[in-house]
Amino acid sequence: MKAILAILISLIFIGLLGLRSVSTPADSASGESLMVFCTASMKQPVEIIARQYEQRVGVEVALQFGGTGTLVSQIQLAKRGDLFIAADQNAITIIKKLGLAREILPLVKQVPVVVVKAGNPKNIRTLDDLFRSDVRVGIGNPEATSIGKATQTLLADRWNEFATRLTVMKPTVTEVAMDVTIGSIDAAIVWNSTAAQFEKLETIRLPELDSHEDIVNVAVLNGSANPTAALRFARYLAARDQGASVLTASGFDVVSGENPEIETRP
Amino acid sequence: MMTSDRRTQSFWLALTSMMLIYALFIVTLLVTLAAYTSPADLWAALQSREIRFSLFLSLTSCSISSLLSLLVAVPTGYVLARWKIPGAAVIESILDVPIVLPPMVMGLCLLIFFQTTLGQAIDGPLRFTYTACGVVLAQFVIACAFAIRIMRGTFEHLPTRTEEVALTLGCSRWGAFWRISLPSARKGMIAAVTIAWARSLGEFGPILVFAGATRLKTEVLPTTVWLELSAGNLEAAVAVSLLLVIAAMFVLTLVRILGLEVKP
Repeated sequence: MKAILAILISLIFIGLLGLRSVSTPADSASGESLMVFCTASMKQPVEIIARQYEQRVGVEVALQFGGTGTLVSQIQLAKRGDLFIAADQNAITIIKKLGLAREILPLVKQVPVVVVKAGNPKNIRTLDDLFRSDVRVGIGNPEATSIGKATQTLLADRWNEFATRLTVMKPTVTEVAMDVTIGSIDAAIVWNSTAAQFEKLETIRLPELDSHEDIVNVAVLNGSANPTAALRFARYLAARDQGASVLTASGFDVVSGENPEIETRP
Repeated sequence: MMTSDRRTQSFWLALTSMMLIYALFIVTLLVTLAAYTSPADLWAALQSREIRFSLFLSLTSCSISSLLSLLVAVPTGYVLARWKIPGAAVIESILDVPIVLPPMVMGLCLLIFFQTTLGQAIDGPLRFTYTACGVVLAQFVIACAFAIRIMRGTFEHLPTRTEEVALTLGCSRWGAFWRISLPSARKGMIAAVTIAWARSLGEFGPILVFAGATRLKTEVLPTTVWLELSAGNLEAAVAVSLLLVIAAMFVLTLVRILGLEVKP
């Protein structure tokens, strides 16, 4: 038993030493920090932008990732945090209704598309192909994901037939895209912004889906302890020459804002 | 005699092959998982500061939460096994709640609790919501329930006679527990720590809800896997999963070998 205690205690020490070695040395430039709730689907570009911002402005940006729906619940419960990057318009509507948001800035436009494996082995070209019996199709749950809801609206009276033919519904849009990569389904309806994150997938735009446009927004939260600093970072995210250029490079279709004046640190 | 020997052989052969088939099944799963990544991906994962952070935080938090679990599980298991208190069945069902509830709900419970007046009073000085302490707490709440079950089973199967003899020989109640019960429950305690540690390492749902997935702050290995999957980075997700498996096998094997070593 003593040996076990020794192992566990030494693991704690090794872990703590390791944590010390990788943690950021306290950046005392301004002591300011922002907490950003960010949809997991925007993780890659937002991390890059946050790091840039930390270096240029000297404000620490802590990112908390999650599914948009989960983040809404967290914001509602904890009433903490400065900004919220939501994967869909609907989440913004909800937090506005709850009185949790101040300013809202659009970041990225997205439309539903079909993704298939590179080379399109099942030769999917039209919406009707998704109804073929040899094509396994997945989508996000309409209750949990904006893409599922959008699909349901767009398919209108064909939805019921579509829903019975579906192979699987997943609670997040990235999970269905992942399933196409793994090969457990042949096609999935996802946002074009999601599709852009998957290099190994081919995107097919369908006229039936193209009409629906959704927006990824960043909202300044009411619980923010420092709304001015929060808004400044939100503007930076949306600015053409700053955040938006990173978003474009990651394959997102940007709604770019003007370039704000930022105070870079000396 | 021959036939009985052969029967014994076939007995062991049947049981061993069942074990080997199952072990092979798990190994196959791991190998197919590994096929989605390469040594280069694994190396790249280890190079990332965020992933190293989550590895260290996983090791620290799991070890702390499994020690805490043992600390609570030993007395609780002993009382449940030895002292027939009225309403024990109800208490036991309450202690099983963290096992029954979906882990994510446990995280939700914690998050909601810490927003109440009482929760705020605790959260003020100690800070659990969205912190590394929250990670440990979320792991502990669930791991402890498993540890209690094991300790209860352990003490139930230990003969009470040795303790009684110690008591008649002038040992105090504390002394009998410390010198007789605890040493004979060694195997059970090792099993409890192992389960608690392993359970904590894989814990994900409650951590995500209660401690969040903040990079370089509350990110543990399962969170990293989920984050990489959410961002569509399958190779990195698989690489981190393998890292998790390697860490777990290393620690658990070490614990088993050293813990069960027969003392001279």
